[in-house]
Amino acid sequence: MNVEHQGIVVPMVTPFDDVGELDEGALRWLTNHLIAKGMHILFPAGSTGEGWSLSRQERKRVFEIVVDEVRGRVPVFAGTGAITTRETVYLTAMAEDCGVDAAVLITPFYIAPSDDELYEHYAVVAGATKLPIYPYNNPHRTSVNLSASLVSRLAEIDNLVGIKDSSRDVALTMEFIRRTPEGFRVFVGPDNLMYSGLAAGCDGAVPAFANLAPDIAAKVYNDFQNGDWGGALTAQHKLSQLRATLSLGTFPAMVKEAMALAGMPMGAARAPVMNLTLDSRKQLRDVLEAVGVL
Amino acid sequence: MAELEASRAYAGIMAPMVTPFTEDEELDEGALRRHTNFLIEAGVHMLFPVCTTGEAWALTREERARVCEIVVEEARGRVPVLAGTGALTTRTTIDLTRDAQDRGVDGVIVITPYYLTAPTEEEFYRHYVAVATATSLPVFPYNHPIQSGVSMSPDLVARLAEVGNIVGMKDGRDLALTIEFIRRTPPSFVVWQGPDNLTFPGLVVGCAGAIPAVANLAPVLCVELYQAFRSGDWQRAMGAQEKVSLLRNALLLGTFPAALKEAMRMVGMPVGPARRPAGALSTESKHKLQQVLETVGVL
Repeated sequence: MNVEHQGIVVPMVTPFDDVGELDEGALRWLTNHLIAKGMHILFPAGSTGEGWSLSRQERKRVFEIVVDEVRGRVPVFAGTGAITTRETVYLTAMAEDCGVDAAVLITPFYIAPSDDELYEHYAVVAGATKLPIYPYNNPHRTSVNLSASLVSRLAEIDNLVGIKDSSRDVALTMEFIRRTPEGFRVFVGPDNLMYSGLAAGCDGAVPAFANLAPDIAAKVYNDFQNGDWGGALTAQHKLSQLRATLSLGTFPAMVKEAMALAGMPMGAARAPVMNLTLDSRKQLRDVLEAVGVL
Repeated sequence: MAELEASRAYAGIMAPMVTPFTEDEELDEGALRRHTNFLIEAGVHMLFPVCTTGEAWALTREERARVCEIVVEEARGRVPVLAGTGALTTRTTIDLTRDAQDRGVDGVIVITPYYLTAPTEEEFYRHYVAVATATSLPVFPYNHPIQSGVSMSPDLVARLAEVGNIVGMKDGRDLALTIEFIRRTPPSFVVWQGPDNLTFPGLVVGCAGAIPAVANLAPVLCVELYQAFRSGDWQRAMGAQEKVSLLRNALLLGTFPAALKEAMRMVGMPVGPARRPAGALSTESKHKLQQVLETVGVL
């Protein structure tokens, strides 16, 4: 299966209201805002979107709303990974019914499957859906790391069209690119590796801070595409500075807090994640001012 | 239970129950009922459904509640039933805790949130206080850094022990830390040791009991270990511990708990497969497992 997916994939925050319920209005606003800012692909219910905190029904509602607002303008990638194969199949079918364009599947976490088990896992999920699917490698969260040999096997599955790699290991990312066919899509994870990932040959990136600063992410991508590597690197440094604020609290509290400071309130992250302390919030504000977001 | 001192009420061997599935991975209620009675008749002191060994991560909210309901029904008050209700967020943990309370369990064991990037101690503290406030049940935090990637500190546990219905905890792997948890909490605070191979050492350092996965397969052996320890026959307790440790090591073949379920099939107590992606054991692993079962005398 060939797909045209390319560019900046925004792992959308999930807005909550004051009592922690899904804020549908804010989600609709964010969807339109990101498209207006030129973002290429929207990705609700990923890690940045606190996918782990959403019930089946909430996840479904998030997909429905984003698909509804997008109106076919950009592809929608749905986060539908879970610990077991059966739940992943269930969530992926649900997302397919909602009309999304692809599914992004975090590796199972909490358990430590073998390569053969991981292969079977993705093969079964791929066989159960018509959607293009992307395995999502995030070993720092899951303790499971997809190997290059496994990914080259997975790439033979027809609708397994690419991978999202947040390993922070560009050497591994490059192995994924080298050991898969032309047309296999590789998206690099954390914000601070966007430029490096593009230079390594990735088709795009998945920067969490594109929620807050789509212009900065767009400048990294567009300057890089236009051959202005100096310009891209300068923008990358700003994005990296934003990324460094992860040390100020528990992810994604600082992303949501930054959006609130920038006049785009998305509510708090769900407990046990707490709001930033006053001191951390001040440091965050300083960073936002330094990179020109405020 | 209320009239008993907590440390006595929650003493002994707690079986972290496997969850039986049919071949197509549906909950096997009949096998769960049989297993509940088997464990009680073998003399285990407490039951712990919806735990890591029971593939809690693989169960839907409805299935978790159903498992609690069945185990409580079959236990008929003979032993305490403590249900696992931990989840990644506070709100889900509260929902699951209330579900379990409605099904009549005697307490809840709550694993630290996992997958999140390193929650802070304050976040953990508020998490457990929120859960404890939302239930009248005794609440036992569950520290399992190997699988969850996060560990509680003695400072945090000392603070949590001051919360009225946080009456104990389950710890795993690091005995030096376990000792600190015991030292820093009141004598009535219950500490259970998790992994099978630390059952005896855990009792020696003052744990009220242990939660060996092997108890599913060899409950009599685990109970014997406990009773030998209590009666002061440490030699016999260590003998039993050696067998438990051998079994434990064999259970780590494959992706947990596939080997435990395979072992139970081998000894004639089939509980079905583990839910995928955990797969069946390789022929070679099955052979190794069988040898261990024979060596220990379970088969």
